[in-house]
Order: sequence, then structure tokens, then C-alpha cells
Amino acid sequence: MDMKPIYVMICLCILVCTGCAESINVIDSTGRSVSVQTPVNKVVSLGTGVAEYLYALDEGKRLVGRDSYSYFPPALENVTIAGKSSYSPDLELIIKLDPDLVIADGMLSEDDMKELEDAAIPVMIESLSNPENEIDTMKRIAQVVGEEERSAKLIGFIEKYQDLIRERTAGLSLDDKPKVFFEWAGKPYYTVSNGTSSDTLIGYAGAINIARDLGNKTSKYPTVGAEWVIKTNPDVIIQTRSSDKPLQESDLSKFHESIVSRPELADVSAIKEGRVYVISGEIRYGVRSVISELYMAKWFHPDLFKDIDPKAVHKELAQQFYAANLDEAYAYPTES
Amino acid sequence: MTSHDVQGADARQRESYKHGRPKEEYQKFLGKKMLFFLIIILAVILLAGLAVTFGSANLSVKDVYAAILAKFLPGYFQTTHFADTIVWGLRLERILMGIVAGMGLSVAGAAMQGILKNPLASEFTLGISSAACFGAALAIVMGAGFVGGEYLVIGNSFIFTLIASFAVYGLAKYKGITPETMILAGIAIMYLFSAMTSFLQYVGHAEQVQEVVFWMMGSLGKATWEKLAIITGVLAICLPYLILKSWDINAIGAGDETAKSLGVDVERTRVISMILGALITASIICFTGTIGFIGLVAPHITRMVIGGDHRFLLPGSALVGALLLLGADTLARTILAPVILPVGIMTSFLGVPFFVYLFMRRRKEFW
Repeated sequence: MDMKPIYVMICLCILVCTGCAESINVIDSTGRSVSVQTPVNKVVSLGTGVAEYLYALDEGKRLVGRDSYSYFPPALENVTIAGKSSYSPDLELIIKLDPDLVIADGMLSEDDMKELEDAAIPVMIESLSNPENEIDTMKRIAQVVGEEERSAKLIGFIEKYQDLIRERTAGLSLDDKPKVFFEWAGKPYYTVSNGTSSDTLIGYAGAINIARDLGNKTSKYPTVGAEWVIKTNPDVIIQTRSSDKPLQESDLSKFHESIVSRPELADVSAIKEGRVYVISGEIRYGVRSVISELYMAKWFHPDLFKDIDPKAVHKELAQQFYAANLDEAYAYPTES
Repeated sequence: MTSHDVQGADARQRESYKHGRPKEEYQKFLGKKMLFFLIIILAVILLAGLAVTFGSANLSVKDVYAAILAKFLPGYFQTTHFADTIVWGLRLERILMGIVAGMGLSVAGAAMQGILKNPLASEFTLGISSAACFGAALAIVMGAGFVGGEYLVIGNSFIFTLIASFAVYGLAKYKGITPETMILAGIAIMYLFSAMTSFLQYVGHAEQVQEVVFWMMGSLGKATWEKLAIITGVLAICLPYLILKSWDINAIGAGDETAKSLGVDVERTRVISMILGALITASIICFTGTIGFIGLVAPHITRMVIGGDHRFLLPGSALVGALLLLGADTLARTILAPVILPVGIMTSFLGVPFFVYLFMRRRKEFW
């Protein structure tokens, strides 16, 4: 029997297959070169804020697995949880889901990464936790999954407001910038220093974090003394709280009350002038960090941002990119 | 009192009888102990007086003391509202909390070591601290507990502390196990509660896990006058009773049989002392979180200096514990100011070298 036609057929098949499954090389945030087979149709996302972003690109079409901290938009509830976070991925489940790409953040261990790569699943290390480079990260992810157009729209939306904040706060002198004390994780006087996303956002929004210089290489989250806060006399106090479900307005007002009622702070400017705010940790990073930035900018400089309603912008963003109606509270107190 | 001490004391006594002046000798021993008490009391007062002037708020020594005295003699001293807030609202609460918490934890440790006749007995090795942690974690992560509202965490840790104490004691009493085995039971309970806490940390979300970790590290920063009043009240009731019972505890140290033959109700003394120790510990750590090491090391330091007679050991441990915790907290809030370190780190840093020093010098008389 003449085998030649069969060989030709096999060769043709291989050619066609490699043609349709083209592989591209991308450099991820850690500088590793990752080879990804395109088109990417199935993604498991464990990176901070990444699932929320991916959903905005394709309405969740590609997302087959997520981390448990990603719960916006509500439609993500239908996506399998493939690990609590990058720190504890369910490797077996991920391999079973057979994704074309896993996006995890820096908490993924070397061993887990190797395990996934041995299963021929490419892993990109990306997270949207740092406002300084989140636009670049968004562009990189969009390129890999082939949704540049939709991504450009979203980035346009974000940059419009970021630019607006930069423009309006550019002319501020150091004296015009309020001193801010930022508290998080629900422990009194637990704060953030230089190099944390919250500190960066405070800077972007035109204010100075009073604990900016208190961190060091190993600890960016110092606990400070109440006495020092009183002495430094911040103009604004912001607390951020996070949860594994959306926070309600009643939660936020409770947190607010717990700061305002601290007897030792009674004489601090922020308390006396009613400039104490609570913001949900859900919008501290990722696609919606720009909303945090808007809230803060308005709190820091109410005159400069009179025309801006962060809540309305947030609603617009949710409507436009997530087809979601927002009714949860994300900041307290708000004017509207 | 242990057999070593008994022998040591006997030898000394025989020596003094030989010289024919037992009373004088006894007075001398008593004098030494009183001197030790006096030194530690002065050190605590001095340290408290010094600590109250430390802080970020740039108050001068004069401002601080004017603020303190103005409370008692409002006509004679002028103070500002600012100084008043800092001194009365922050510093004094914290300093006094350090003193009473140090006292309570050390007395509880000393009493437990005495009645269990075991140098390793402390709120950690008996599983009491980890039970308190679990109670707090349950409240933080699950929002579940015995009492509601803002006392959820406090109430939970308090109740779990008592549960663990009774569990350890129940094991000892109904299975008739020895004090040595009791420590083993305590350690088993510690592991059980630690595992349950770890599980809760695993299911909890990031912010809750943070809160549990903070709770486990302990802090005097949450001190208020109400909390101080509660702890002081508990101490004021428990400490005199324990000191009153110290002859009985001494007798237990010589062996249960000996104690019984001396007419001591061993079971009763052990139960009551255990309950009081647990009550003191619970009332402190439910407000401060777990502060390690004080309850173990302060009684040992005291024992090495003034011996194992509980009449002196209990109040002595209280004073040493107060000094140690106050010193540790003062360091923790000043060395990296305005950043505040967890006090548990400093208690070990301060306590261990001193402990080792004494251990090397006076090994033979130890325990």
C-alpha cells in the first residue's frame, strides 16, 4: 500500500494546526518570558484585581476560575473558585479546568508555578494592586487575551479621570495639601507608609500621608502611637475596610462612628472639622482604584472637585463595563 | 516550697540554731526579702514616673506632672487640654495597664507553678492562652460567641479561657493524673486550640486574619479606665486570697501526702487556686490579647532571688511582673517611635537575658 498520501495528509494537518494555534511570547511583570498559545479561550485568574478586569474585557467569557477575593461584578459568583488567593491555589482543580493561561500574583510559590508549567499551563505573574503600573498591566493582559480594543476603552475611561485629578492638583503647593492619616484593617493606628498602594493613591489625590516615612524594607504597615497622631494633627482621617462580601452603608457608618468616638482624638482637626471618611477596600486597587482616587481627591480638595460626583462616575463605570447596577455603599459619608 | 528549698532552709536553720540565734537569723532573711520588695516597688514607681514623660507629643516633664497633679489639686496646677488628653487619656492608662497586667499574669503563673509543682506551668503551657486566642478568633472570623455586641471578642476569650482551665483541671481530677501529666494535658489542649485557630484563620478573609494576628501578639494600647478598674478589682479579690493560702501551697510543694498529713485540703486548695489563676489570666488577656512569657518568667526570676516561699513569692512575682511588663511596653513604644512594636517581642527580649543570667548564677537553688 502506498503510504505517501497519508504522510502528506499528516504533514498538512500539522501545518494547519500550528497555524491556528500560534504561540506568542510575553514578558510578565516579573520580567519572565512566557510562551502562550493563542487564541486564549480559557483563563484562571488568581491575581489581585485581575478577574474583575478580565470580566470587563469579555463579560466573563474566558474566565473559568478565580480567587475567592474577587467578587465584583456579582456575576463572578458563577465562576469556579480555583484557590483562596495565589498563595493557596487548588492545583488539581486548575489542571482539571485545563486553562490556556493562569494569571497569578507574586504570592504564587515557585513550586506551585513549576507544577502548573509541568502540566503545560503557562503562568503569568500579574496583579493590579499597584496604581503606579496598573495601566501597563492592563495593556499587557489585554494583548495576551486579544481584547485590545475593549481594554483601550476602559483605560480611556480611567485615564480621563486620572488626568483630571493630575491637572487640578498639579498647581498645589505643599501647604495646600492636607495631611492625611490613613488607617486600615480595622486595628486602631495601623497605617501605611511609602510604597503601598494606599499611600500612592493619597499622593495622586493631592495630599500627604503623615506616616509616609515610617516604613522600612520589611514592613510598610507600621502601627503608630495615638499620641503621635494627635501631635501631628492630621486634617483628614481615612479608614479603609475590606470584607469577603460587599460592605453595606450601615457597616461603613459603624466604622466611621468608631473613629469619631475615640476620646483621645477629640481635638484633632480632622475630627473637629468632620473630615473623617471610610472607604471600602473593594475599590482600593484594580480597575476601580480610580474611583478611590476620585473620592479622596474630593475629600482633600472639595473646592477643586465640586463638579465631580465619584459615586456617579462609579455607577457609570459599572454600567458601561459590567452591565451592573451599583447599590452598595463604597464610601461614607457622601454628600448625595 | 520545694524539697531543695526545704533542705536548704533546714540546713540554714540548723546552722543558725548551732549559733544559737534563730530569731535574729530569721529577721535577717525577712529583712533581705523586704529589701527586695522595696527595691522593686521603687523601681516600678521610678519607671512609671519616667515612662509617663516618654511619648511623641513633645510634652516637657513639667507639663506632664502639672497635668497629673492638676487632677488632684486643680487650684495649684495649670494644665492644657492637650496635655490632659495625652497624659490622662493615653499614657497613664497604658502604664497602669502594664503594671496591673504584669502583676496579674505573674501571680497567676506563680500560683499555677506552685499548685502543680511544675516549673513549666504557665498560661501558655496549660493551653489557656491558646483557648483565649481561639475564642477571640471565633468572634472575629465567625462573629459567633456567648455575648453579643462590642464585648463579643472580650467575652469569648474570657469564656474560652475558663473552659480550657476547667478542661485541664477536670482531666487531672477525674482521671487522677499527676501534676506532670497535667502539663502534658495542657500542651495537648494548647495544640487543639491552636489548630482550631489556624483553621479559622484559613477560612477568614484577609482583614479578619490580620485582626486575629494582632490579637495573638497582644498589646496594652487598648487600655481604658474601665478595663483597668475591672482587672484591678479581680486582682484585689484574688491576690490576697492566694497569699492567704500560700502556707497551703507551700505544703503542697512538699508533696500531696505531706500536705494532707499537715491538714491541708489539697484538692480544695488546688481547685480554688486554679480557678483564681484562670480568672486573673482571663480578665487580663481578654482585654490585652495574649502577652507571652511574663507569667512563666517573672515567678522564676523572683524564686531565684528570694526563694520559693509563696508568702513572699506571690507578691514578689507580682512586683517583678509589673516591672517587666511596664519596662517592656515602655521600650516597645519608644525605641522606634512613633512606630509601636508588639509588646510580646519586648517581654522576651527583656526577660530572657535576665532569666538566663540568673539561671547561670544561681542554678543550684533554682526550683
